[in-house]
Amino acid sequence: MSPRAGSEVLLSVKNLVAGFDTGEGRVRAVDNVSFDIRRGEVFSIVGESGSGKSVTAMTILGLLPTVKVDNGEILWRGRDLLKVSDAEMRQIRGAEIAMIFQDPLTALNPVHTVGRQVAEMARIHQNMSKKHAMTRAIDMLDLVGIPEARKRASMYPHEFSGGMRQRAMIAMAITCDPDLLIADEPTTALDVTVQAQVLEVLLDIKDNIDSAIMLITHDLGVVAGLSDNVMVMYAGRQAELGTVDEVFYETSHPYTLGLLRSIPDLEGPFGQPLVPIEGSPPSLIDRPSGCPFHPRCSMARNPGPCTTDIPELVQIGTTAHVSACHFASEVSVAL
Amino acid sequence: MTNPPHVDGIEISPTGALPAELPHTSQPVGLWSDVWRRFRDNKLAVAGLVFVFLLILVAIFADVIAPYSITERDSSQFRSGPSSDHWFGTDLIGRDVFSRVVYGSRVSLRIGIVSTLIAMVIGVFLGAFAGFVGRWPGALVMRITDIFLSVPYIVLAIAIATVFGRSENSVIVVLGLTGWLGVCRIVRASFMQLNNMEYVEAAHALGFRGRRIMFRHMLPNSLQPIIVYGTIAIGSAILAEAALSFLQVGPQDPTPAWGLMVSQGKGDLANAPHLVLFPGLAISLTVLAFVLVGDGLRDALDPKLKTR
Repeated sequence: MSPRAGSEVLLSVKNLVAGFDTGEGRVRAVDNVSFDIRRGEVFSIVGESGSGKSVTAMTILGLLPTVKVDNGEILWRGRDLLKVSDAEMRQIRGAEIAMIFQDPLTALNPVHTVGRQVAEMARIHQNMSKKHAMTRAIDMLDLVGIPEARKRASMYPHEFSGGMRQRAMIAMAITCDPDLLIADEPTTALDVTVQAQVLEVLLDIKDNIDSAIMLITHDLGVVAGLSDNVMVMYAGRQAELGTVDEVFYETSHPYTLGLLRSIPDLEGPFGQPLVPIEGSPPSLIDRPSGCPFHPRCSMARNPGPCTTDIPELVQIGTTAHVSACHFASEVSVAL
Repeated sequence: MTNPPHVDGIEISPTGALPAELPHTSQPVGLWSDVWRRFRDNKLAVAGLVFVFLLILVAIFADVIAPYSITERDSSQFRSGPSSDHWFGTDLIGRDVFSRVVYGSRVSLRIGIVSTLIAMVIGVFLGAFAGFVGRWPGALVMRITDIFLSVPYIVLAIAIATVFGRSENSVIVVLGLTGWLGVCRIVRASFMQLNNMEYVEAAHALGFRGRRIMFRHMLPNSLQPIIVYGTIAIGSAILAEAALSFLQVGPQDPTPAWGLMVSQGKGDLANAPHLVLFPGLAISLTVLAFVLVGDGLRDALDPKLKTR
């Protein structure tokens, strides 16, 4: 799996700043985030809960009415999604950018048959007749590996198992051949054996319809196995961005390092304790001064720039690998 | 784990549901046949349903069932008790009470059903709008609801009867315009809950229009309380119609409205109790029947709610 540097840039997010107003003040859920997604790649966003992963994705689709975008651009094939009309946005949602939700148990409507829900996509975005749309739906269900798709299309979601439902969700998302699939923790609610199958389906589909996948997850194993590029987020900011190999083997941010160290090592000696990242994520209303990660960082220098200056993204080496750490060059030495 | 037993994921249900609840190979069990199976077990609800069914037949075939017309007078019998000629006796001016009660079912059912339909349509639309859109437009709708709640329907009925005259249709209008408040609140609450469901979010994310999401995706999910409330509301509307007729703001004589018949007979309660008894019984049984059916539907539609 290599990043396809030459292929078309589908989505380009530039300096995105977005947040919500709460009773206690403005929460900057996404703070100065920039990245590109190219056709054919799997782009992963990882981070703890509340790090701004999902808000970033939902903002791209304009799905959070309470989120206000303060700055930045979201360029979808050259068009700024922050400026298009509601009607245009509806055309893009589902037809060009489709989303796969986290919990397949609740993401399908219990009162309609699965086939009808998949067919509805073709009906509203491609103006297909009922009959054609249903044929298309059955083809899609077949494509995502649902056995006896014709029969299962007339069943209701409660008659499907979790993995089957997630497959049906994927079928819905790909019905209109979207260019980008946003998968928000698509396997979190599934059993481990089913997870692998669903991810495999997702990858197959991606190549099949020649799209890109934006994968939001906190499972680093999934990231390592599937992604081309990875963005690590912390407290709404980018910590590190690069190819999987760069981020995993030339780690240049102490937070990424902490995440990697906290994974249990199956090949290491038995009984070895896990290495957690001490402390908890900062409040987004009352941010720490300087680097948002410094209170939990084992490498932070106090007094030093860590407590006073917000680190900018610096380039590591000669590739597009960037890290927001004042001492980025020293991190990989500690590896 | 050397041999994962269920590779396909069909047999594994992450919710821990028993395999018996996931009929993979058999025909899917329809929701409504399931509801009917549970409804059937409730004897009172079935009795109510049978009564409602009979009442509808009586209303349809009133011409055949009633031995006399609603205005036909027997000049030899005033206020006489039940007899073989006049099963429910005769009223103050010699009209057959049985025939009038039979024809009265048409009045009650028409007013009950049509006014409830009007109320349901208004309530569902406003409630869906308030719950789906929320924020200030939603709040505005709810304040309007509060204003309507503070006006007794009887006052409104008297006002409308004064303007449009006393007729069945003005009763329908009054009950339709005052009956939507409950549905509106139920639908709003249900929509607010559904707004947070992932399948509604998913529908937005997949580019569905607001209207389509409201009526195709959310409304069917809040149908259960609407059906239950609507059934009971028909009973309430029939009761309200009787009250309005009793207060002489409903339909006028010779319309055989049950409430009006009770009202006309109340002066002679000691001498001719049958004048109040039969129409009164008709009102009570009809209202009871609708309430029983509604309760039965509630239990059948949502077995978790059943507290017995």
